[in-house]
Amino acid sequence: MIAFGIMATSAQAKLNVVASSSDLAAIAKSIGGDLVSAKYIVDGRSDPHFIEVLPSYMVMVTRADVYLKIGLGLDFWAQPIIDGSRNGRLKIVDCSRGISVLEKSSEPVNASMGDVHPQGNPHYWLDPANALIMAHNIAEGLAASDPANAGAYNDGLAKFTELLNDKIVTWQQDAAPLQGIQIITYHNSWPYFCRAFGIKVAGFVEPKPGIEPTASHTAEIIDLVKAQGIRVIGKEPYFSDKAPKSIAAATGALVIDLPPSVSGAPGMDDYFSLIDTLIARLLAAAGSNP
Amino acid sequence: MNRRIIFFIAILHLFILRQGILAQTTANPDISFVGDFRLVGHNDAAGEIGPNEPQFIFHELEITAGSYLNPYSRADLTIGLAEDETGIEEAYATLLRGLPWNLQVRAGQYLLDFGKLNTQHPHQWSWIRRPLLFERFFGEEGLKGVGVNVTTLVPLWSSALNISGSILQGGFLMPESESDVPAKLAGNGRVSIFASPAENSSIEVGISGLYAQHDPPNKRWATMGNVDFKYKWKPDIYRSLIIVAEALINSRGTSPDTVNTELTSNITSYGAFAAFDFQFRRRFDTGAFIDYSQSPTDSDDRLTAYGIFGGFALAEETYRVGLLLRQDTGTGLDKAYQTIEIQLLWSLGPHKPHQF
Repeated sequence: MIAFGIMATSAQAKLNVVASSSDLAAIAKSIGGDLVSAKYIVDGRSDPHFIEVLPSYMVMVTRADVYLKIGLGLDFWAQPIIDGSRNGRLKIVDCSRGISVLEKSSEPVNASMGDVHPQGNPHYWLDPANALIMAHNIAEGLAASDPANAGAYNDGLAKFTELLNDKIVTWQQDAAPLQGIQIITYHNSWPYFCRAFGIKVAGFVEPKPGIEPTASHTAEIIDLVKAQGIRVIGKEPYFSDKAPKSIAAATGALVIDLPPSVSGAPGMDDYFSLIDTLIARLLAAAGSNP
Repeated sequence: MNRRIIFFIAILHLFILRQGILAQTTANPDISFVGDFRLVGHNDAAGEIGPNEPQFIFHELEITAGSYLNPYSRADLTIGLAEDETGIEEAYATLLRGLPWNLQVRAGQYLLDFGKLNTQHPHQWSWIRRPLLFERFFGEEGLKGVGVNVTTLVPLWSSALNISGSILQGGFLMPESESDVPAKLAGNGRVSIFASPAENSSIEVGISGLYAQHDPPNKRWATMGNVDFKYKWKPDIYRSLIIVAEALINSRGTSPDTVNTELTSNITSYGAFAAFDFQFRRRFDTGAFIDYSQSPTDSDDRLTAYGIFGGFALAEETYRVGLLLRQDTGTGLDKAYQTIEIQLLWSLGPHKPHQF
């Protein structure tokens, strides 16, 4: 993991950070370095929509100084964990503050639309430009909870920002062949990522958010894939590959795993390797399946 | 007009009125409705429990509301409307933070944490019916009381030790028809340990105690104990296995002689329940249970039930159809009888986190 924070002396206690997701924990660790111990509740292998409120999570948060929330309703399970921790000194940081939210409905949402997010699409961390905003929010939270090391966190933020800006340029260059391609994804996790790299999501394997694929909807997607010449179907690792594989078998499209968070696959150890891996997998799929 | 309907309309008006009051703030409680509708049929050759013809039953409409009162506390409310009864199941406020020693304090009416299952509402169970040991010892609505509960969470490395204690208004062990003599205050406590022994697996083991008067005119107390176990394995949204087991022991003095009620004989009786629930596809689950309970006042009065169940959840807990096949036998029944029960359970309201 890349860390830019100052090395802590053995006498200094680390700031205990717990995050809803591995992405937020990874950014906190990048900024705070050895000054910070960062744990998380969900990583890229688990569906963040269905996390159970476990006493072991409450124990983790009992010992925490800072809690990093994804926000926008995705980690609605975080508040009962925080309440159960009884931690009155916990600094809670909503990392979605300042994010320009996509797909915010102008009309009231209801369950007929599936398991929609009323506050807009919450998978914002997948746009590297948003990672700059998240890092700023996280650094502010770390500094507020540990003012003695505020300078170190600001230095860590500056270094993270510098590297991220450099990587954004590199990613845009590397992902240029993906501009304009159409893909199918299982769930609507990718609008921010796709906006960042010019990819178009033409359809979803699930008919509505949180609803199992049906035979009729799968047939519609097969028709769409054939009509548009779509070659790639991206699937989060925690979803079944049954429907994606049947679409692939009927169309010749390629199914690839796209873990949406850090630690979702080997080698995805920090935010940079998360985006590196996603771009590499899409390039490999698009290139090998023209 | 039917009293239940008047009560329901009054509650709705309060919610509508609240919209105006709370327009001054941005805090609206989460309001949910859970409907439980059943088709029940018996095969009761001896004719001891009622008609064998299938019957549609509106079992219950449960209304829950809850939210934060301020940064330090929250309130939760559950009202049950059944075919022949309407009542407050739970209504309590909890002080969440600001207390020493990781304490939380809850006050009001609530389901006691005597065992694990008693804290849950029946719509959370795939086996549909309340276990016999709770029905026979505490009534159809389980064990609930009015009082004050204090809990604390003690970290044990990565595990959690939960300690809970309540002081309650007594009287919940007495049939409603008995005695104008008020019961003395009662006490209840539970200690449980939670651990995650492997990825995707969790275990909780608890031990509970209860001390309450069951016969206030004769100053008689019941002492009850319970051990509970829950194991859950859930690697993804498509599969899970839940195993639960509880056993209860009850000891109370009773009068063997209706004339000389000062004589006391001690009754010790037991109950036990175990079930497993296996989700084998995202929308499907199946399982089985065994259920045994003696009477609180007569250990020779025994009922046993066992059965299998299955369910189809269209979209999580929003719409679930359950099937229960059950056989009951025991004291007072000339013959065992079978029950088939089809349940339609729906829930309307915000998606709530799943508690272990």
